[in-house]
Amino acid sequence: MNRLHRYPIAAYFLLVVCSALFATSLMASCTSSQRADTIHAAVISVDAARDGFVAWDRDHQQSLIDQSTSRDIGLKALASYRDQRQPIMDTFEVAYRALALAATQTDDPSLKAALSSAGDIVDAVKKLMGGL
Amino acid sequence: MPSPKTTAVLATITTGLSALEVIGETAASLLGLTTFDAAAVHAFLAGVVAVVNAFKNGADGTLDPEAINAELDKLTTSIADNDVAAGVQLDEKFPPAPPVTPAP
Repeated sequence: MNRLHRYPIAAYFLLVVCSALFATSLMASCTSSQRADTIHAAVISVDAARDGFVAWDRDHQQSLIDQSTSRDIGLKALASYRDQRQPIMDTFEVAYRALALAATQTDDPSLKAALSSAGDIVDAVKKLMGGL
Repeated sequence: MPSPKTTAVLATITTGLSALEVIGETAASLLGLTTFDAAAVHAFLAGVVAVVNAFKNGADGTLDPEAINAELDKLTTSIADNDVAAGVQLDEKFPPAPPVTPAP
């Protein structure tokens, strides 16, 4: 069975992120302020990744508790998952900080770094949601 | 070295193409979905609102770094709320043992 069938939220997450990316890409290509619109597009994709991740995180923790057969097992499962989650949280922070920095600059490197960070977090979230 | 404008245009095209590719894959996967999930719908609507806001904010061409940082704060707050909710659910399913009082 397709992995996305088992993870409806992951499928919706992909749809939201891709819709946001596509719509904002079109928007960016049609307006005069390319840099600002490109950063806007990246912010939207990271926001969509965040919203999907938050919804998935809530459900995933619930499922860990549902599968637990004792309090200790539940606590360990939650602790283990939260350890795996931390790098995602760190990557979100890097992405948002890079985008905020790029919004105050006019140079090429800051824009490239921000776009790279935005892409990294979308990939990282997809990987976590699909791999657990 | 390409100009910043060229870089932005190339990034836009690349992003659009990647999105198209994954949209096709996702749309095919969604055909097999039957689960109605309120959280997923909420995430979808949040994405729609974000796009609408982007159009609105993009009209004046400004970017507010503080607003971007505020989005990070929303993530931190929401995840903390999830952790608290999970703790409550765990306590409900497996109530913590009462503290042991020393025998007199």
